[in-house]
Amino acid sequence: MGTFKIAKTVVKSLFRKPATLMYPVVPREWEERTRGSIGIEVEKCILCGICARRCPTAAIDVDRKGGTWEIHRMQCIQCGACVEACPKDCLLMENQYTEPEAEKVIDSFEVVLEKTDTKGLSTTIEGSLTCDKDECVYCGLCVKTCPCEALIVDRKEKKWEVDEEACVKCGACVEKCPKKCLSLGEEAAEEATKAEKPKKDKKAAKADKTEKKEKAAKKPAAADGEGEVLLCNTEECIFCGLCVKNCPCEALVVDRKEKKWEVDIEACAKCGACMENCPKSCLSFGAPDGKPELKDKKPAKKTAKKSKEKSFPQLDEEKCIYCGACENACPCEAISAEMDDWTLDKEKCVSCGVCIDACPAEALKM
Amino acid sequence: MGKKTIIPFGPQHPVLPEPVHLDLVIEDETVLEAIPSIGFIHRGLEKLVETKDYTQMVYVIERICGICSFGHGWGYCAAVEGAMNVEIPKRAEYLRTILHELSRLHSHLLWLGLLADAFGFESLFQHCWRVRETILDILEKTTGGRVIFSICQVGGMRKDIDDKTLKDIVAILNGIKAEIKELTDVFLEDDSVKNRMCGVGVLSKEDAEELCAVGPVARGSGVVQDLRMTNDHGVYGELDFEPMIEEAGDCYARCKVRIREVFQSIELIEKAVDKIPAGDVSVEVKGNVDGEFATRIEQPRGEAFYYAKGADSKFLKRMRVRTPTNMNIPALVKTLQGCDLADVPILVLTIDPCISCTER
Repeated sequence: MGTFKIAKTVVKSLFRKPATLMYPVVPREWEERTRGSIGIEVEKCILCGICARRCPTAAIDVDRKGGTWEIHRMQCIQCGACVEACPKDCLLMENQYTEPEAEKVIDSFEVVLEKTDTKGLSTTIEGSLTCDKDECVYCGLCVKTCPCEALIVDRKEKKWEVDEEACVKCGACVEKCPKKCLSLGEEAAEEATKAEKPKKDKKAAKADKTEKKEKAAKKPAAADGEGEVLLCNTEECIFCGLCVKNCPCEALVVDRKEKKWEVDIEACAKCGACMENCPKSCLSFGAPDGKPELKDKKPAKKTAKKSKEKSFPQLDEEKCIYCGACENACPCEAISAEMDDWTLDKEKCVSCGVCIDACPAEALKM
Repeated sequence: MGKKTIIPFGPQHPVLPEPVHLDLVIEDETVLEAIPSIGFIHRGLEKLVETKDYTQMVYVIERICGICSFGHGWGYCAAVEGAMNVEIPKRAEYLRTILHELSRLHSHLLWLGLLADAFGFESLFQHCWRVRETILDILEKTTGGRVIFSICQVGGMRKDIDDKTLKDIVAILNGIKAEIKELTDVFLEDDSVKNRMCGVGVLSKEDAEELCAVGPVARGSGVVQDLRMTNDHGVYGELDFEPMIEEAGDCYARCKVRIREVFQSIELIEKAVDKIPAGDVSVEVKGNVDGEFATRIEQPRGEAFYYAKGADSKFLKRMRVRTPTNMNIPALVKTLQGCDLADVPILVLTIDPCISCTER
């Protein structure tokens, strides 16, 4: 109970220093973590545009052609998402906020892409991303990794293309490529000189491969940790071996005679290249458990029995139009369809029936 | 008996920190009925989830409100983590709890200032905000922002706060305890203040329950309701939490609940700092959101509800926030019936309205 309860506080404050600062005469001292405004070190920037994509308020514009990096100061909420996302660490959170403005300002920075080698990756605008098409298996992992959507891979047409304008040479795809068939700028030139000495090249390639395997073994464990592994439904599988051919990571072993299909889970990058080409669609991603091995044996026997009375596709010559669809479709390259001459290599044929499905004239049957 | 008149109150009114509009039907000086309307600052933030990926959305959700910003960030993250079955590290839970209590401190001190302003006690108002500044400084030092922290992320916290800083925080809070006590004594003991609050705007326990009041409004009417008891969120179960209950149901009781909560928050922070385990503060979250999850958080203003539904993509399909003010408006309308026109500002303030929250 009482009156003038605040008198004590009021009297005290008469003798206290002001609680406020004489701003801006006395500058404010910022904390280390204070989020004031976004700054950019233009010389490090490669205009990759990741910051613009991460920004929750679309405050950043990156113009690759014009060579500018812009920030809408009024739109920016200083959350720092761009700073965290920047692969080159060229964005930073400055403590001091920007000067007050009477208009909505857009700060524009000119970025000149020159030789700025920060992480051993070349960002020269002359050098470009190249793909060794002999090695490439068109798995598409590079497309998934690319921050700039600059790559196009078409597995069916064996096409690998890079949009030079969109590519920022960040090197993310080079690191991710399981076949190490991608190279960037100067590295590409180096490889060209290496190619003159094929012996050395092979050795280097071998060393590379072992390294890759080690890397591959570590990577997926870190990346996808828990979860799914590649599984094969061996009841369906015809052990044609096409998946082995397409696997960029050399993670698969298929033995047709022993009806064996195995995957090295640690090497598998889960790119899905094997699945797309599987003629029987027997591959899938699923939870790893002990069952697949058990399954392995039983159906293997079944198919073994079947194989004794193995049937082959037969051609109805009257219907055949010799279009070559079966030849293209055969996963085992067992068919050759020249004009008026259709042959089947029974050694190679695994009776998968893909040719029968592919035939437009319904001229094939088992 | 006088003639019935309708007085529009708000959305812009000296006493209102945020835009709510009330049509007050008055007869003489007595309010017969109050008809609220909102919708002045709707921003459609819930709709935005369909166009921003779920990790970006944290920063947007935090900006639903400048005062309960941390609670919103936490509620959203908890809902998404629930939908994705992510368990966050213990240290992150502790840090979230500590920061949440710090926000409660600054929110309540802000409210005390506004209340003093509402009954015209300007110097008390300024002193409350002076003390609040200390807490804002702590928040700026630990998170980088004074009111919008951007430190919560799906999977934990973006930054760790080291143990030394945490100990410093406790020391600072214990240091300003006496100062806060000095000010809250004015609220609780000064006659001029009590004359404005005691017996004004009584909300009975039955009404509070029937009108689904939440937070300090409900607790001021004797309803034992605090989500921190249920241990739905944070680590309150390990901190021996007891809700603050007052029975009277008037403005004074609601004010007292909040004042007691200020000191309780300091104690909770102290306990949490003692118990905080070492370790990581975040786990990596990958993949798309699938499934749905609902969670509740006890914010400074009361119970807030968060719902997230994914459609196996980076973007949520639906996101819903139900804020405490939304639930307290019916209680406000009830208490306004029959009050003096001069008491309307105080009554509006004692529910601690946060209209920006409500309209999202």
